[in-house]
Amino acid sequence: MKPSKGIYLFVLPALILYGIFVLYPAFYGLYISFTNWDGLSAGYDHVGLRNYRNLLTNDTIFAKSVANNLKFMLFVVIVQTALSLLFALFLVRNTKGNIALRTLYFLPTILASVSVAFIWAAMYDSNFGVIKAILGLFGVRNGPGWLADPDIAIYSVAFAQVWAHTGQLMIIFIAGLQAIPADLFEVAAIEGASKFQTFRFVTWPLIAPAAAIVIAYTTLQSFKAFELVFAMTRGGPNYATEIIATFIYRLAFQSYKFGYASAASMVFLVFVAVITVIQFKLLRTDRAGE
Amino acid sequence: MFRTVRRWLNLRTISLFIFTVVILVPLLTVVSASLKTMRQYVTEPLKPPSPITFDNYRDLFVDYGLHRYFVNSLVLTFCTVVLVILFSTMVSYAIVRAGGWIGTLLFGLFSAGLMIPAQVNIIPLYGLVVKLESWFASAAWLPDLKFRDSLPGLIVIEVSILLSISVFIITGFMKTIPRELFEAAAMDGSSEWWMYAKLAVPLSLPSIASASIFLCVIVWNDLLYPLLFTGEKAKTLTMALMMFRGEYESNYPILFAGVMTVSLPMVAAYVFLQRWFIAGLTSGSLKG
Repeated sequence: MKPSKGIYLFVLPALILYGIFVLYPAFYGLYISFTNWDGLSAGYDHVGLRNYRNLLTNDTIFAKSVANNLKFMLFVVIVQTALSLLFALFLVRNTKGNIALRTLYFLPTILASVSVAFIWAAMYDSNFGVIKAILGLFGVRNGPGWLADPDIAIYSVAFAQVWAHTGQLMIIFIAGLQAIPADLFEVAAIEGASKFQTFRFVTWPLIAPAAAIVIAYTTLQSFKAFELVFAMTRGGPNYATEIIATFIYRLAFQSYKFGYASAASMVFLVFVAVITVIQFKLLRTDRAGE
Repeated sequence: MFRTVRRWLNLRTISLFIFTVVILVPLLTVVSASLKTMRQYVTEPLKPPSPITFDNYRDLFVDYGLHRYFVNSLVLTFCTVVLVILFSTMVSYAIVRAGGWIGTLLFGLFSAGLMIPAQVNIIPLYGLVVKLESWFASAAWLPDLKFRDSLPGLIVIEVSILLSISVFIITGFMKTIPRELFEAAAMDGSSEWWMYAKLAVPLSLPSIASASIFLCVIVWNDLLYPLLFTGEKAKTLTMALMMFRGEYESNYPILFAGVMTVSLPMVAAYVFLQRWFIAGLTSGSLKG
């Protein structure tokens, strides 16, 4: 029996809100990127591709924010994936102790990014920081300037991200590991496989799909880490931790260059799409090779 | 003796020990520093608070009226989650009932929102909100509509943004309910509303619970949209925290009392609903 036409009324409230505040802005953003609108005044000019040309050819801060974003992404993807897989392997069995540790490691996931940012700002503080105090116990007097040194600041922020989300990804790996039939490990043990061999030839191929999900999620997550960076460093010192998201925010809402910032956000969208596609291809061939 | 030492000093134990310390030290620092005076925090950063002081909390609540922002966050989170769940279960029901290409189209349309990062959305959204407000203000026959620095305005925006993810989670689950169930009920003369309220929603409760928890955490912790759209009146807790940073620089004891206030409701809920939280947050984030 066909549903009655009244069924479409069910979609109406959601569709109106979604259409106005999500779908329409997506196209409107593209339009703004070809103008020099300041976001406040009624008038603006159409400037064609000028915003894009300036952005891609002579904006060193944008180039820097792209580079920082890539550093941040690589650090988070590599360290977070490695740590979450390692601890998933360690905590895969459902013993009381393991479950308690999993619960603890997951806890930072539910904290607000602002909280994580402040917590780590305090850890890294160069005057009264906790890390400084701990290093002091071991006699280290001149530790690195975690957030003050432009060469390492972006990695310090990235580590806060890793701290906050490793537990969450560990849970995904544990779910993947627990789905592997136990007899496969028994066979490996009977055949005399070493721990490493068992991991390489039994565990890894079977959790590769989970790994693909984790890596894809982590990559996108690190592109969207606006709140953490904004609350922790605001992109400083001297743009050392500026990522594309904070660049866009600063230009639009502090410099009121809506047109230019929109162009940056479109470039950002292309970046995200390209990385998603590359990753999808890489991870698929990787799995096909197993 | 040597054997027992070796058994405990393996890679696993050492790694777990180190990681536990790395996770715990910052968390314990927040709790302990929020109960210290600035003076003790500076001179003895690693020692427990002595004497324990609640002055930081008093400053925040009595001098700064943090409870107002707490109430704002509470209202924002509650209304947003209820509305998102209501609207998205309705959409999911329509998708499942309609089926065929219409169902696929609707599902695709709502899922498309998952691919638009917030950073791409915020500029045109802000522009749109400015325009909407001026239209409503200029036309005499329209009521005054405020999106900026108004809780209802912020709720409308948050609801719109979060519909996609919620439709995605709930539709995935509702699809597993056998279609024949609805068809049989329709045959017996049940209305769509009855089937939605008495069959579809109760049978989808696990996914609704997951989605609700996911949405709660997202909205309660959100900074981006409050940052864009709130001033003094509709300020949320996270936003207030952000402002304190500017005012107190590195007065971490006070900042941490703020961090505690933002985190405690979620942590308390997490302690009681661990399994639900872990399931909800993992499913939600993966699909997002």
